[in-house]
Amino acid sequence: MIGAIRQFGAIALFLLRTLAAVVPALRRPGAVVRQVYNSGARSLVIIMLCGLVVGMIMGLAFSDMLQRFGSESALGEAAGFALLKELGPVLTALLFAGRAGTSLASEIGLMRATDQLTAMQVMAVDPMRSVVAPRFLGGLIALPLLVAIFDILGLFGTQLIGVSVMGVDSGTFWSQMQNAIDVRDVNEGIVKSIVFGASCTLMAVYYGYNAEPTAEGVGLATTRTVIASSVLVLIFDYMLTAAFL
Amino acid sequence: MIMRKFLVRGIALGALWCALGAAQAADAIDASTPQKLIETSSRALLSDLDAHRAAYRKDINGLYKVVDAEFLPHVDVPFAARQVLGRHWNDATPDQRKRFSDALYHSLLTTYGKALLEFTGEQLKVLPFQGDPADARATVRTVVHTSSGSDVAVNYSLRKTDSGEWKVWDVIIEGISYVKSFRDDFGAEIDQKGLEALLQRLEKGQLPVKHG
Amino acid sequence: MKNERSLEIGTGLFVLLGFAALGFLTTQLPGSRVGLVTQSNGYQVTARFDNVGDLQPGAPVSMAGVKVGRVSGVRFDSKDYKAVVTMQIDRQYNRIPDDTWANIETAGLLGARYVGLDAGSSDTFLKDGTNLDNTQSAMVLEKLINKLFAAFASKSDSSTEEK
Repeated sequence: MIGAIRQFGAIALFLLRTLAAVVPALRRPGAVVRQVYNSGARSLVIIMLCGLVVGMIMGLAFSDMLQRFGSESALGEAAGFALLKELGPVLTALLFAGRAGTSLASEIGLMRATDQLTAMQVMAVDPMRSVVAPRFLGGLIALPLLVAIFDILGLFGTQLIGVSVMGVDSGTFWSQMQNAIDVRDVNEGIVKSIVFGASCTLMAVYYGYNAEPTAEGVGLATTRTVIASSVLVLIFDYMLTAAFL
Repeated sequence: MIMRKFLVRGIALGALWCALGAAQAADAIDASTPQKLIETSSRALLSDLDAHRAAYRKDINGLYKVVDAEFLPHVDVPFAARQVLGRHWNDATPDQRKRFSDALYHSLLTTYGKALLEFTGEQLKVLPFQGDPADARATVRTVVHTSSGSDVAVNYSLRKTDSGEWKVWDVIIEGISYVKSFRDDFGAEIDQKGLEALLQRLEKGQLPVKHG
Repeated sequence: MKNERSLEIGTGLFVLLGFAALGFLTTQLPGSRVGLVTQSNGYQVTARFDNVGDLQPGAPVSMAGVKVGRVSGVRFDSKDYKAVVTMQIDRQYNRIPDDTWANIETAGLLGARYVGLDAGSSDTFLKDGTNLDNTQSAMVLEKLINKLFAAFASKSDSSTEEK
């Protein structure tokens, strides 16, 4: 129990240190850009693929369900809500934790294991500024963008299946969605993606930074990253959904 | 002598008064604008009903005669009949079209005639006219305040005929057009049983049960 | 060693894509903009209704169950307090009589509203700019239910009074 509380405390302190290092880190935008690339651009393919497939699955599943109520025309609304508010942010975050999160954790963990971080400290180079903060920023910027791309592909996938396979009218699909979706709903998705971005990236850099300096330790760090990220995402998802009700 | 003069004048004036009064009691229907047509017709109907209600209850044909004489000229039955038949109008012979028009009118009269007798002292409010007075189509909105306390929106669709007269061709109660309702029902019946079968049913004075 | 240029290009593309997606989500989705509905080749007709329910631009216009066009706009005329619906009819459907009825119908029980056209008997056909004079407004379910309840209430009142 005390161990868990200690963990929370440690993470919170780490977060504060990272945030403190953010402003100086921004003085070297090249590093941040590289991290956006690593976390974001390199996750693009899997995010787009999953987005499309999830959209198509929704197209099939929702159409079938809605047909029972004679409301196939509500497919656009249903898919729009589901993607923007829940599936988009949550699934993208979980995928991100798996792909980019583990990559970050193992990268930093390896630096820890090979004493690179200690060497930096000796040379009076703050690893928080040069290593942690740029990666944190990279993930934070990348995730909301990834979520938006996931959402778009998801909607496209739903429309693809809904219109060509299930016979929903495409004009009705989009217009019903536009009619039902509010700026609030879009904002909810954006806020969630920012919160999830911070959470997943924070977990990745934290566990990586504090990994045991062994090969085993690095592996453990990646596992912990995924678990912690997933739990945080789901908890925050509940809280934010409730907050936006 | 003077007394007689006064008497004659008095009788003359009295006669004039009576004549004027009679003219007002006749409640002439003013068909110059859609608005006036509905207002004056409703008033005329109400005053006629108030005056002869008991007589009509004994013999409803009296009411039918008044409707034929006073109100029918302001209703465009052939146009309404054409709208009710819709695309089937083109398949009907001129004789069938005439028969349909007449049968529709008479079956409506006999079905709703009795209900008309109950039209008493309800508050009828004709709402201000909206729209372009130059249009050949008009909608007059009214609100009927029923004895049970609720308000029913009753709108009338009118058109200007080729001769420049305004005539009513549809009644829309609470958003539902009666011409459209009959069009749907009769349309389905014509598809199933044919126009001739429908005509014969109407000529017997039977309307679909739904509209009872 | 990663080529610095390709890294920047890659990131740039990613960020652009992301912002485009975000932009799309925030501007195109909320509200009732037509946005993605492309105007196909056709002619325009109008119809006026007392009530269009929640008919949206982009909704289909059907005749005998076949889609013949789309609703391109819905606006309110403050002169006669009616809703004016503009529709694009596909050019191939050029023999629609001009006394055709335009009705607001519902797809399924709780479905979306669309415009149904019911053929008339006129010899003149619809063309660009014509107005459909005969219309049936949307039936609002809640109003009908209220009226039904009111009717029941008054019937039971009068029957108890008779006793």
